[in-house]
Amino acid sequence: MPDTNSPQAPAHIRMGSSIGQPATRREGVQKATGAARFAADNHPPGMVHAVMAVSSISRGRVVSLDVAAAKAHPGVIEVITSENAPKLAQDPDAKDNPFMFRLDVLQNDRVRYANQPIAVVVADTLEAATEGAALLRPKYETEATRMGLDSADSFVPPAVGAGGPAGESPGDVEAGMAAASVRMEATYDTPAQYHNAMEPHAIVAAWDGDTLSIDTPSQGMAMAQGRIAGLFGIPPGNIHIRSPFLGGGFGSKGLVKGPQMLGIMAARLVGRPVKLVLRREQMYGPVGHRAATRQTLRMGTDGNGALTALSHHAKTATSTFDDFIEPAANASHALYASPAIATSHEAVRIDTGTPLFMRAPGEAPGSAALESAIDEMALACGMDPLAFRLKNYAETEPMSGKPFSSKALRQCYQQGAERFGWAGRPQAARQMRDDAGTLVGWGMGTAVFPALMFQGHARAVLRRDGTGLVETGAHDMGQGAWTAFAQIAADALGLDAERTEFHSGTSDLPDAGIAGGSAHTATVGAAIDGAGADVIAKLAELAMADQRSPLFGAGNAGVIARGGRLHRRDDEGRSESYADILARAGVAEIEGSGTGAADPAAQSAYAMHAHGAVFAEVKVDPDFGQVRVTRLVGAFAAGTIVNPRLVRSQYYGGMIWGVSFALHEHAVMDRRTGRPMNPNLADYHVPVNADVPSIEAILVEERDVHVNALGIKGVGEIGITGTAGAIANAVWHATGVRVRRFPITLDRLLDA
Amino acid sequence: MSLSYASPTTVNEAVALLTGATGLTKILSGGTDLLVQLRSGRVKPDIIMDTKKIPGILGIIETEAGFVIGAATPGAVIGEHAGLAAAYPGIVEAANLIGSTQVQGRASLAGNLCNASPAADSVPAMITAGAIAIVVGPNGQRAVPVEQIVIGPGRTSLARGEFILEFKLPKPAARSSGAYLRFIPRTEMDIAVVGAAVNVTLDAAGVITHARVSLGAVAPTQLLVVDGANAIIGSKLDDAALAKLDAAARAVCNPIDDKRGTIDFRIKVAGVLARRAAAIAVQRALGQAAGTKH
Amino acid sequence: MPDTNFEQPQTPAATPLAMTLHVNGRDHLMALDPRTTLLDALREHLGLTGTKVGCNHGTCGACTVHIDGRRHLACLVLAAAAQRRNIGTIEGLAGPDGALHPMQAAFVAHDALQCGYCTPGQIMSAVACVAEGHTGSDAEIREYMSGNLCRCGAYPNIVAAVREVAANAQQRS
Repeated sequence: MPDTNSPQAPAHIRMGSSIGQPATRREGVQKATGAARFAADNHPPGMVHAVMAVSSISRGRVVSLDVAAAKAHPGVIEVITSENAPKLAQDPDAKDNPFMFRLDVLQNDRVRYANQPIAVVVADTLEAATEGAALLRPKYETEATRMGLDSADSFVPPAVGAGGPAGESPGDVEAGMAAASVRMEATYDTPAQYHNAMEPHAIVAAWDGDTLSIDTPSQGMAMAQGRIAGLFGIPPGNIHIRSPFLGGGFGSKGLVKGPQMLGIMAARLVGRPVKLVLRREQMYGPVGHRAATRQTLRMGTDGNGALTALSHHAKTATSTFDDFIEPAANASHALYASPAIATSHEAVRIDTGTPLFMRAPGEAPGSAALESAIDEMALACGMDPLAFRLKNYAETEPMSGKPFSSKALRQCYQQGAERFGWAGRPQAARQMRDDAGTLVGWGMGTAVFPALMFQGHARAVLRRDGTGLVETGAHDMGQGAWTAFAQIAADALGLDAERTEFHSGTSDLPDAGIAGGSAHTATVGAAIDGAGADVIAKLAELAMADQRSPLFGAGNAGVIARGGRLHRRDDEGRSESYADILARAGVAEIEGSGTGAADPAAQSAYAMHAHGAVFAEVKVDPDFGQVRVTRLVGAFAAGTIVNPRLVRSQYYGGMIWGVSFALHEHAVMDRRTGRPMNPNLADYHVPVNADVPSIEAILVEERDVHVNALGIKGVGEIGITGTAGAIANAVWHATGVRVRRFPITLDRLLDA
Repeated sequence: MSLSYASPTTVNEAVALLTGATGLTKILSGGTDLLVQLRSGRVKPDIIMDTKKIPGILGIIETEAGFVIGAATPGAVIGEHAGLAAAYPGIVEAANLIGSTQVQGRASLAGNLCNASPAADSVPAMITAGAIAIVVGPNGQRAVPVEQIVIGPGRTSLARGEFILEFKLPKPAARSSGAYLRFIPRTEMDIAVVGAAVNVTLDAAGVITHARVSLGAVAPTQLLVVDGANAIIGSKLDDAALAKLDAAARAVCNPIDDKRGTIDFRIKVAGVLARRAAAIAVQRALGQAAGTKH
Repeated sequence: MPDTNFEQPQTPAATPLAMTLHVNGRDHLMALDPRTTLLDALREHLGLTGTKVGCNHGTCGACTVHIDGRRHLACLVLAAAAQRRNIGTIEGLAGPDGALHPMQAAFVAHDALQCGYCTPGQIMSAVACVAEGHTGSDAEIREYMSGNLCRCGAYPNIVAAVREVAANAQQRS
């Protein structure tokens, strides 16, 4: 039975504070009653509906559209095609930075991928707009499609992921391989995957002159403002974005995409508010995906099972017109100690929409391959997979040689293995069956994810009535950011949670950066902590300068803020309430601000990662090869845990994505047309409730004094890493068959 | 273009709508497939005809002769009918497998059949139960064995203006029962890669005297596997009979290769599922003879 | 008092069909395009946006509502075909005083939701699951809750919430 009881806070948190408490989700009741208003739930007066028509070819141009037929349909107001679409203020193919992706917004008749928008129909009703789009009957001039990793010449990209180098190679891998007494080499394939957030991308856009008001799910409102401003030629400040709830993002809502721009364009053209919601199948093209990879791992060990060389090469695909290179090989940077490590990438250009960040970009497919390969290497050495990992445990970051800011991976291994019961595992495959004769297997994988920080800002206010306010334009896509930030805010202000007001989710608040890279809590948490410190410092100055205050003359940093009062550090009995301080000073409120960002000095001195260990049990039907995951235990160490209840949910979610990666999801692409063949939730399988077994997530205590002031690492993505590999390894252990193509479907298991 | 919605209250009214010159009329039974087809633009009807007000088209009646199941009866109602569950557990099993519980609230046997998907779960179970479809149309009423309704993927033997009003199931003989099994890659919520239904009748000694075997998703239509039935009739389902059933089931398969399963895999699964379904059916029939409930 | 339309289209697309929908105990008279699904009628015409659009295809469960007490997918029901039926949505689940339904409270307490988008559908499904008696074991709950996808992966907590509500319901009866 999964343990879903609220766990006790670990010992290292500030006792009596909000941080570390398992508070329930702030917006939980809104979400449970249907009151939470997602973007597409908005319906401003006079609003009309826009529906996109998308291309059924992947390469060529649109020759004709039956615009007259669509316009003749009752209720249709406007049909926007490349013929009549307004010219934008900026070329949507311009690219000033790696986070600026080229967009298809009806500026020409080119088709660069299947499901690319080719027209927008605006109508009074959704039904009429839908019918109007169906009446367009596009005709194309079609060119041959390039699909798959072998369909074009490959190239070495100048950068991978968010701008990292495509290859790194400390040490001499070939010498290490030559010196090895045991060697392995294997190639692993991972498929294209689509984010498939439950909430389709949506926008409600309303213009008032040159100002624009939009409701759209966004993981990065300030960046969205900048992009929209550039394209439509208005100042960013004229754009007001509301994104109080995201129905899941997983990276696909990090950047505002073409379809949302088309909603904005349509609203401007018809002079009325417009709602545009993607149909599920339209999410398989213009809003990003995770590209397929083919990864080759080579390893060598000495006679004691210590690695002498580790080489990880990844081939992947990007679009013909833009670059996002899934940095899969980089998964080998931080985990296993080896005197020589080489990672490298190559890519091909194919006729798809541009791939994008998707939950654990690079790490997810990279970890699936690396953890499978480590398992194969352990077997070749005749060692238990856990013993082999411990043998090659990295005491410093293998790629850089830097010490870790903290690393409780040993404890993760130990606690996870103990809880799972790993000790009794037979080393050979196909040794265990249950009462029904079903094959049983156990596998494990190591989880790792970098502890990143971007930049974010917050403001904090203390009011004369003794309450506080913290504001930041942060994003909650389900990870629990608002709850965690409100907890951090209460501590930052030295107030109870009930006296701390917290606002977030709109673009008029301080820029909180982007919710991604598992960095939002660390980044914005630091900003809130800083804003709180700033406003408390101002309050303390008021008090310490006032002879009537018991804190008069307490001196610099001589006070502690707690429970709505400032206390003298050297004599806690001498204290005064915030309200009294402000009242005597005759001030209604005081304000502070804070910025969260990585500390460059700490970053150059330390390697910073969250770690974990995942143990999986699978059962395999010997006749059919049907695989069921029956047990998952993950143990994770990620620094300060702001809210254990919500962090546990993040780990569960990540591990379920790992199940999905290992066994379920893959986009099937038609090599002739370049179209996804399963662009719907019936055929693109993500796990259903019955696919998900008993899961346990152990929160391993870890204190990190280097990552940031609050000691926070990220938890949103690490759960996928380790899990997919653990399941693949368990499947091997059950069956003796090593499937090196994800997902591990039954035909692959039986064919292998 | 315009589209209208009609809900006739008699068979004649419905037939008149279906044969009228106003263009394409599509029947809304449960709606689980039609609404998806409407939205994708695959069908563009002029009239959507909701049949649920026609007397007899909803509900299950148990008679001396057996059962009459209204064509639009949702799967969920079928799944909860105790009498039907005792007599034809295979049909109830299949009805419980059509999509999610929410889909079962609407999906009907007639819709599942007339959509003519080779993977429709309820059809093999209906075939092995010997179900007869009562088809109504401009020329009156006719009785058609279920296995003769579907003639190819997406195609049925129903003529213009015809629709299914109800299904008739015979009263099962003593010591008889059935089972439906399917194989799907996901644990739930998936379309059958292979489905197998078996119905058996035993004599007092436990020897199989009658059997029907049907497979789904292994050919363009659901198959009635006569050789499979013959393989087990006269046996107590010993290993030799099971092996012959397995071979007969494999022999009739003519499946497609698709992303859900390869040809070889489907053929293998068909044999194993037929065996497993037969074993369950016999066990249930024996249990019935012993007076135990299932 | 029956409600009138939330918002009338300015130029009706097809010949509108007059219909009455009985939602959360109230009659709503409306004139809708006959193609309108119950899902779009609730969301775009009655302002009841708690019911969500996930796939419009009958595969994700985000639009689960109750019709005559049973769970149904609003995207697979024509509004016209839902007349004279008792339609229940997430907005009608809490008591008139705003007191949460036990299932809503359990979802919050067990953190059985993350982004919250699938949540109304999960809760409507879960309430029906308990009423149907499909809560005999965790495995049975998982099976009968499998018509509702959750991409965030709240499944273990959803099972815990349903288990608790079912156990409490049994104690009371």
